Amino acid sequence: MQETEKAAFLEKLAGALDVELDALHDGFQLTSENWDSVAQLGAIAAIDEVYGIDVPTNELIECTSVRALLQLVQRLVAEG
Amino acid sequence: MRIGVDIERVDRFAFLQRPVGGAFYRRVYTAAEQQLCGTLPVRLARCFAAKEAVAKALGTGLAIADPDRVACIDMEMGGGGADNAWRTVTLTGKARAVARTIGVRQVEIASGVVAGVAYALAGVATTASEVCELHVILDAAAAEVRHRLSAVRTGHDLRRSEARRGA
Repeated sequence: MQETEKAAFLEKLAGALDVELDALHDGFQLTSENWDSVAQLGAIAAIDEVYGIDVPTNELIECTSVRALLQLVQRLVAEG
Repeated sequence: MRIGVDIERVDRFAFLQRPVGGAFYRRVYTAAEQQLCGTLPVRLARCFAAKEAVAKALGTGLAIADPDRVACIDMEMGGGGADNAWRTVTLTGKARAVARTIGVRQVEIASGVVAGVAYALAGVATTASEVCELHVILDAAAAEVRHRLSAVRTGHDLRRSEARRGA
């Protein structure tokens, strides 16, 4: 995963989660408080826009941290 | 009669201010809704709240990954107009199938914005008498939602004001 793409994705994800970009470290937890339908749809859109990947939504909603989300994206990018 | 309610903070939709047609838009808004909403957060939030409210009134909620739920684009809001008030909805796909199953005769929407929060209520009538009462009940429920949102906002502003005085 290229750093420029990761930075672009995290910026969009921060917007979707309604948090400051600085707060979005790998250990940031995705909870029922912040991981609602708007945030999930925003994350799907961000992954599509930055990586050109249509992420399987059932896998996306099971992510419980930003780290897990990044690992999912990394795996999907590797699978091409 | 079934009533679905949803609220969305308008400023959360500001991050979507990019050219219409992006990935989020395609998944959430129909082509006609995209034209009506443009990239205005207040319209996007209100339309999304209306979709959530309709899906709740149908008893499924909106689908993100669950195929048994109603998808955002399984419905098209209408009547946005200059005041951004979504009043009508055309059900398609899964939403239409669910509506048929539960015997929906009419769906109405009431929506608005109070202090930066978009709210929407959807009423689903399944009998002739419910159809007659739907508009009145929905208006009364919408007034209650507006009242509660105003009260919450007033309380929030008071607490901020007190905090500033304390500081």
